[in-house]
Amino acid sequence: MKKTIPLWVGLGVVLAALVLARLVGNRYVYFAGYVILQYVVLATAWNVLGGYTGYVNFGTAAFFAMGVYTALALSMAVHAPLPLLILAGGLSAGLLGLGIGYLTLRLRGVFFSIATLALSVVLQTVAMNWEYVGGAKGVSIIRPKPMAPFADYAEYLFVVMLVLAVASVMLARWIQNSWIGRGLAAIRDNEEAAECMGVPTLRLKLFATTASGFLMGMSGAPYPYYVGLVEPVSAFSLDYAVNSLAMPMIGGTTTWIGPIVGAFLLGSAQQVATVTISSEVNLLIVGIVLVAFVLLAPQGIVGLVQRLGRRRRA
Amino acid sequence: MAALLEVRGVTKRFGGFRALNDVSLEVREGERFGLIGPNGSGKTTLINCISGALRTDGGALVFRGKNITTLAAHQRTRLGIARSFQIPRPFTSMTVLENLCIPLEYAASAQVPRSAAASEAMEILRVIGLDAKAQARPGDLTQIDMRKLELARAMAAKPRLLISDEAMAGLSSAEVDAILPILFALNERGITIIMIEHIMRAVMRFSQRIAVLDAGEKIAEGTPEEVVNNKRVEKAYLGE
Repeated sequence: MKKTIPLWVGLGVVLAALVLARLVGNRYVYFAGYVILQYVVLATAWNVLGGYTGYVNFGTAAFFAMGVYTALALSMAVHAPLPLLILAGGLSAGLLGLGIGYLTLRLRGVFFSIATLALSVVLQTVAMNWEYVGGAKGVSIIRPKPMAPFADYAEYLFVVMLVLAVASVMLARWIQNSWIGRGLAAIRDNEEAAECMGVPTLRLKLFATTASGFLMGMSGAPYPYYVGLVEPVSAFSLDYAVNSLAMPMIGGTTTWIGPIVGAFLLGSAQQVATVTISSEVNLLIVGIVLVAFVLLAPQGIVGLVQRLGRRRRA
Repeated sequence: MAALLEVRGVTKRFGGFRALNDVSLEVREGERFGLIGPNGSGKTTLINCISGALRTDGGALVFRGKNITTLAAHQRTRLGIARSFQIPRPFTSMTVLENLCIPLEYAASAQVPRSAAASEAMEILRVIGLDAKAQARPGDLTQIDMRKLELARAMAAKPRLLISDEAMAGLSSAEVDAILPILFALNERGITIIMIEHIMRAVMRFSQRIAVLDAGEKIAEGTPEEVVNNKRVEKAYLGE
């Protein structure tokens, strides 16, 4: 019984969000909600590697776009249904993650981060020159017809992303509380000591990079239908790398709640800024907030709350 | 007594520098073995080769009759080789108790079921004398408690062979007297111990046999008395 509680909470969140979105009755809610939920997935996925294991990934865009282009190519070639596209996007990005995992044998700290950034640049160049999916000018894709019970396709995409977000968070929470999560934390704290204490560091790091890549790829797969026009500059946007790193940092990197808090705060602030000022101001917001948090609350919001709680008890 | 660990002609090079040159030694089951030598003689390099942190460039390592030369460090830990680090390397984000749960869950999962890890960790802390600090963070510990944590964590891997790399460096003589009985007690429980130490008083009192390294070569081996009276050892430490 106790083990199924997260599942019920997850289902509850999905239903509540759906009812809420319907009540608002404005289609923009689905668009904005989709972006925020997509960032919940990306930030949670980033945190499995960056927060739990201590390997900072600057290449979120590469994994995200891997999902985007896998889904796009499959959709163009065989008109595969969305759930299949999501699975395929996850698998290809997971495989990419596995490859990146082997880099951790030789590259640590900032060197690993630079390698992931380079990966993003390399893959973008590949996509730019891949004519089948439109190359640099991109390709537009027509959405399938909405199916019952969804009134339109945006609503369907919103629900799909909602399910992905809940599933990612549940996976991250499970990892954090299991012996795997404790092994990852040991690697983050001191990799040599972890290895000498019996932790199979390489295998765990490969698990973290693969799981993280898989989730990122899944979140990218519905993207072609969301935007309608896929081109490399947007799919590989620096925003993904910066946001998926900033959101866990702001929320707190050591728990599964941190990335959610960060994604909702930063994600909604960006949506508001996009509508009221300009989308160009988004990165500026991230920069300012990130600097403020690094200076004032390096453990993020979750860390801040925990510290206050401890002080009250003491 | 049977050999627990055999080091057979181990060589380790760093570029053109030979840190270890054809070093051979045997540590017997249940023994208290001392490893000494001047600074830079290759003691820690040898330990790193035995624990698996470094790969050897020649020679073989045999533990409990099994060739472990190519095994990864975590596999050697599972077989029963645990080490403490010269400069303590605790898992800083975890409590003292959680620090011990890592080796219990990963290295000793065959001996201790995962569900019993926390209670077993507490038991080890009690033996070492750190139980009062179980919920503290390593950053809040004193130097000596940090050394105790380092030993306790190595113990939690349930080793047959414990390698203590300068567990007492920088401690006062009263603190050394607090650590030594812990190592004696562990040995009495059947754990073979290799002690690397600069504090002669401690090594001489502790060890049944001692090997001396100098410039990457073993220059002497024997009981503490034999080693102290060895001319080559005297020369290595004091010069001509």
